[in-house]
Amino acid sequence: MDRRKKAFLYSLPMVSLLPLCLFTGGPESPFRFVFFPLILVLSRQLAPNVLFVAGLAATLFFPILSLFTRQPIPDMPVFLAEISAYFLTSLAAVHVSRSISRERDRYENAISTFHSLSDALNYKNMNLQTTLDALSEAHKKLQEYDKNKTTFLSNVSHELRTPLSSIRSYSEILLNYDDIDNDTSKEFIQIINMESERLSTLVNEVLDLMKIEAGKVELNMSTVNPARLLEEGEKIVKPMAIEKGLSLEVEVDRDIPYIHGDRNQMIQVIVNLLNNAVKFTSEGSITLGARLQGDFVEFYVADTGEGIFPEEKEAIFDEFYRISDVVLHRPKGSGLGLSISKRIVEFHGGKIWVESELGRGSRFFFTIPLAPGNEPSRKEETRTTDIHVNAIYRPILVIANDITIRRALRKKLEELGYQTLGADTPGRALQITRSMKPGLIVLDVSDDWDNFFELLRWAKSSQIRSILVSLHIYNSK
Amino acid sequence: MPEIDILVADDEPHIARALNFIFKKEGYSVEMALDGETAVRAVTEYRPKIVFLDLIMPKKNGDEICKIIKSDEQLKHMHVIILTCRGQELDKQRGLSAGADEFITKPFSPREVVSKVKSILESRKNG
Repeated sequence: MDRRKKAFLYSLPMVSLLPLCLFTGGPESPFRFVFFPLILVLSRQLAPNVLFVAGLAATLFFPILSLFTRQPIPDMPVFLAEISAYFLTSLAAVHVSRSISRERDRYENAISTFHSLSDALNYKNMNLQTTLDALSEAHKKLQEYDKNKTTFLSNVSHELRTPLSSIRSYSEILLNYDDIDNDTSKEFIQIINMESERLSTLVNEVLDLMKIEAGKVELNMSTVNPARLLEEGEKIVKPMAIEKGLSLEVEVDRDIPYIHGDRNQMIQVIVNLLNNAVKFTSEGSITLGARLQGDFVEFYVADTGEGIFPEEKEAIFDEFYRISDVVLHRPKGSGLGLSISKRIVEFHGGKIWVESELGRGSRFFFTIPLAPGNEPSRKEETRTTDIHVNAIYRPILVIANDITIRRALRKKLEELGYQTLGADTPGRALQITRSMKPGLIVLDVSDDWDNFFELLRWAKSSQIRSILVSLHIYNSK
Repeated sequence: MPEIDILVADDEPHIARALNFIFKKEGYSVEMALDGETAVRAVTEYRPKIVFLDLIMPKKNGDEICKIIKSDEQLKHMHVIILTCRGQELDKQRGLSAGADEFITKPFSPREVVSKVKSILESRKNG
């Protein structure tokens, strides 16, 4: 209800009481006693200005009435004074009650503010506790990370130092002693060479791992044929296996569905596993294979090596874990290969694990998701055909002017199971390439510069890899 | 019982061999051990004057071997040199608590090692 309307309605009984008093004896009227309580009751509801208007109306009522009746009303002043006193009292009462209610409102406001503040505080406190918990959790994680990093760094530095120690010792020995016989010094140079290789492998692997850690590896995802990956891996590791007298077999169904992955990274994982298998197997065979398992292709590398302890099955995927010390002549390695492989596989959404029995060899598995739709990609097909597959079946072209070097190279390669072709000069090699496309070119640096560079250009445009060797010791004639 | 000048124990064959080679070149009698247990056997068998121990070795670590040497009345006179890696202060702690006489940080210079050995053997002779 509108405030003004309300005031009007409440003032009506009071105004109507005035004539009642007048006609029942004026100031002496018994109804005048109703006035005060009525005002008190109404004052709770009414605004003071309404009371004032009502009082004014009542005060003016009698003089106006006397104008109309032309008859003086007895005891008029007393009656007016009485009414005024009522009004003043009630006005004061209203004022006091209003100020009390205002204070009460204020107090209630304060209480509700206090309550809401304390609620907010509680809430904030709770939030703070959660934040604190999260922070201490994060702190713990950071500490752990820091610890891991420290362990990692100290391991890296240890692994770097070991080959470095050898390199430093042997080079210093060679420099300091003039009376070392030829065979020994050659052996020392070989050690230096081997250890520097080990060092550079380690550096590369650490860099790889850091790239993966930092999330900076750009996966070049495509549809990849698992069978081709196996071929590729086999090709890379086979010479090493043959050298150790191990057989390397590949088991794969030619119709195996394609996977979705980065082919170079996949090859790296396969080669890592194969390398380990060769390293830890002294006799027997290594089997590389792939098969369909649900939505994944499962790759496996099985060896007939020493196997690993059950409690090592998880740990071997950690950085710098090396197969147990029980194996006295443990082969050299950075200890990072499996850890890198694990990260690559997990990056692809797959899993890597090992099954092994001590003395009975190990079987490493990893899974890679199938390609969506499983459509063989044309690009992949042509690329592998050009470079990789041909490289297996086509002969290696060995070009060296020095006949002993050429023969030695060809003999070594043929021992490893490759077909070879020989040529004394790059010019002659170019002639051969017109009738026969080699899979790989091994090229000794030659004086026949024009043909030399033409051959390299040709090899590049035909996507044939060339390996440059320099076996001469040039004397500056 | 034979008594030799130096025993080199390191599971890295190249490093053991390099030390072995230079000590022989300098005219000392040397033996090599490529793991902890062999090293312990060699210590009692050959009674070397100086023992080089790599801290981390299969079967027994350098600090453990050092403890064995230093707690044996017959062996504790041996000069124990522990091979550690720079920056791994923890290694040094382990060696110290085991009672090692000296530390050499890898990668080391063979020449420095030889001059160290020379001075140790010299002072032993005089003492």
